[in-house]
Amino acid sequence: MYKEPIFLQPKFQERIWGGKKLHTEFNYTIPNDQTGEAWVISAHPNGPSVIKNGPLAGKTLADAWNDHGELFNKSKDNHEEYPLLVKILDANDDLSVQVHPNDTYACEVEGVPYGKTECWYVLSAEPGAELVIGHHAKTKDELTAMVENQNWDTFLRRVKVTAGDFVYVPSGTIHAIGKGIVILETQQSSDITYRVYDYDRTDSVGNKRELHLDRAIEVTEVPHQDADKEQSVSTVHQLTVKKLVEEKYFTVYHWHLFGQASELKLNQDFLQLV
Amino acid sequence: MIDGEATLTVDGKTFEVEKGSHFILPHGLSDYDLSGDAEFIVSHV
Repeated sequence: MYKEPIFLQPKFQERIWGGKKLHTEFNYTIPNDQTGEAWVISAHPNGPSVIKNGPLAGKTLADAWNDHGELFNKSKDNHEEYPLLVKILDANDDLSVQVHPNDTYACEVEGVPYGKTECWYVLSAEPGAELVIGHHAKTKDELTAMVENQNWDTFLRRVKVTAGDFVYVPSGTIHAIGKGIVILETQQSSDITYRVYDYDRTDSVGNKRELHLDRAIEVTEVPHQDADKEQSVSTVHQLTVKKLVEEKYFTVYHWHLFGQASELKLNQDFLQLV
Repeated sequence: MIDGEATLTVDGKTFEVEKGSHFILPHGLSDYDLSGDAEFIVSHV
């Protein structure tokens, strides 16, 4: 049906921590100056991408997945949703400290098919910019006490990042993207977030965003284990491929093209390029 | 695409892509060529 790539129109999400870099750095037409996320490859009901070209132009990626499974080598008995979601995030301010459930918890407690394991490639970072990744509690009791007493400086594990850094964030990992970072996120297609701490911020009408402490404590892995991944590099013609992660839910690469790469083969069911 | 400009050629058709472009290569696509100076983050299940 498609003898060409499927180009997609991103879906933008306004966030209290969003900014303008999705326009200034990526030339997207953004809806306002607090645009936090571009969902660039998405079949999620909260922000599906629309196909721009070919016979399915105007349809959503979810429509294509449901009605034209052959485009993804989807087996006939696979009734699950499109598995992946790719976003670009502009953290003009700190994102909340949060954690996501795994598949089992998401299914049993939230009634959705996927939990959320994600990974980040840092596109740009202002000097000194930091992420939260993991925590310092050694037991669940210690974690509960630190959260309830709001000992954030003791509890949270902060890491400085620069452009080109890669971070794997399995479900159950406490995390936050810090101010001044633009990140590309590849994740399971899920929108379930348990917010732990939001810096006591209020929106334009004085409301704080909801916290979900009980569920967050329940799904957080203790103790935190850093997920260092081996990265392999290979060069074919003038294309250098660095494998960033190969895990249960996705494999992610950085490709650097510096000339010509011919007769590349599509060895996977389908490939997402962002 | 996270940086640069490139030309993607598939099945005799060419597509100019640049920073901010993003797309899926669907199942059954024939071999393809890339030329240019560019960076991508590429993923699959």
